[in-house]
Amino acid sequence: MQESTASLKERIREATQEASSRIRDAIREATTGLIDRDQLAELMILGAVAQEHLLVVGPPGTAKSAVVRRVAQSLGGQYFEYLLGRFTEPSELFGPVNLTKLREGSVETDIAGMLPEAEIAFLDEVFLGSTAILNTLLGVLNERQFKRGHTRVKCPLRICVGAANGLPEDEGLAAFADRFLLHVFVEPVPDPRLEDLLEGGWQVNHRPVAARADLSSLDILNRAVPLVNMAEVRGDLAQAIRQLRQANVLLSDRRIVKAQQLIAAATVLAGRQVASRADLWPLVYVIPTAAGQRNAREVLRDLLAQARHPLLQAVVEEAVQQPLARITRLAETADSLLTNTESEDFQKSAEALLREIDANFVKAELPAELEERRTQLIAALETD
Amino acid sequence: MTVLEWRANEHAPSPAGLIASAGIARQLLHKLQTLAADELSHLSVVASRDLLVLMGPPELLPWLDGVQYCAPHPQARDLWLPTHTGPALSCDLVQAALARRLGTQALLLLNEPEQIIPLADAAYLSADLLLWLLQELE
Repeated sequence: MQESTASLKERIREATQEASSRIRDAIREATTGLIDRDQLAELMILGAVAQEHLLVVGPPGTAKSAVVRRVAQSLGGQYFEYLLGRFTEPSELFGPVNLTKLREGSVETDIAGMLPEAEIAFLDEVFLGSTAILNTLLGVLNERQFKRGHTRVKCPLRICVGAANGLPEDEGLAAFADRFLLHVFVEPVPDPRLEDLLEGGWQVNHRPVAARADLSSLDILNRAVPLVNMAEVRGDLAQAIRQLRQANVLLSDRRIVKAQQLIAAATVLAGRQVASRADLWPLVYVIPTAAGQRNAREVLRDLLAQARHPLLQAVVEEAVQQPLARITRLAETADSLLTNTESEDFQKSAEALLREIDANFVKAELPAELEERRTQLIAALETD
Repeated sequence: MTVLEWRANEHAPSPAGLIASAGIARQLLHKLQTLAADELSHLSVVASRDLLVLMGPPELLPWLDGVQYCAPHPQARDLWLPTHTGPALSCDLVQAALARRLGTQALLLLNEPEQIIPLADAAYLSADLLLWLLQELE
């Protein structure tokens, strides 16, 4: 047992390194042309590694389905998508009853190509489903088991993304919403980025998504989640929950316990086996309401100040909303540009990056990680 | 004299304008001359005695070492501020106080040195306007 754990750890270390760059490529591939939606794509990856589900709340037309579809395509898994309505029949999601078997007296469902076979699922307007649909869905989401009539199937579902325009007020539906551990709130693209939205939207419609990673990489990472050493971070997590409770941001015990799954997944995706304060940021997305998440960012400001992630940069930036969280992404983009100064669009990309650096930091307070890279970019522009 | 207390922004907005001091205004104008006429028409400019403020979509705002970027505050659209900082006071209160003194109009509030620049009379850029501004800087 000891040996197999050690060998698994070694395989995980290798797989993490290999998966990291592929997953970053997959996120880039999925979000190219989609403005301000990296956060959503990265949360999907975190959810898939933790095998926890994601609820996306936002007005219609905010590219929710486009991001999920494109991430699924770039990960290459079996994908199922459905827009639920009040009159949606269970068979539209789970498959029709097999009539041949019914004649023989057995109620079995023909699930080929339907939700029970999906590896990644997207359910739009998820709260509009009937009681029959939501009850069956609970089993699929919680236990990853599809049970209907005589059919009992183990579901290969890695992540289900539900989308809605708002959180439900009905108690029964709120309990269903609680099954999505990650909650994210998306807004329409802000005014200054409308030009980018138009240009990006045009490109997205004309460019198919290529598969850049695969679900087996995510599965190896998922197997590493229970092996993460959480001892160091547990005290900080408990303190964070106390601070949230004092600020009247309440979390159910179930969500508190399950938050550890996300923290461990973030640790694994960062290529580490010991969770630290830098990995506490997923806690923000466990808070179910938008107001609660805003409060949590304020209340946990000191604790979240150390949040960093080499892969999931946009989502960390959004979670902590502090300039320091942006440093990793800006530095990585600078490094990537500096390795390719001969490229055609170097000048445009370098100037855009310098613009972003200067918009975030005054020169005198530029962090050391960025100061040197900024100088190198300027030098490269001058010789260009 | 500084009247307001200023704090670094936790979340810098995307730039919607830039501020160039007199020292680099000429360099900025020369850079703008490389833009096509239809790109120029998306940009507008306000010039004060020692500053030039250029507004427009972020991708058309040139990068130059030493310029500062600005944007309207999301909750107070008539109040433009440097992207990296803002008043510690609530911005809608600051906007209301400025509107009482100066009327309702777009205003740029700068921190160092603290000053207010009205943006209402911004002129759309053209090749002719660029030439005129360059001559004025002679």
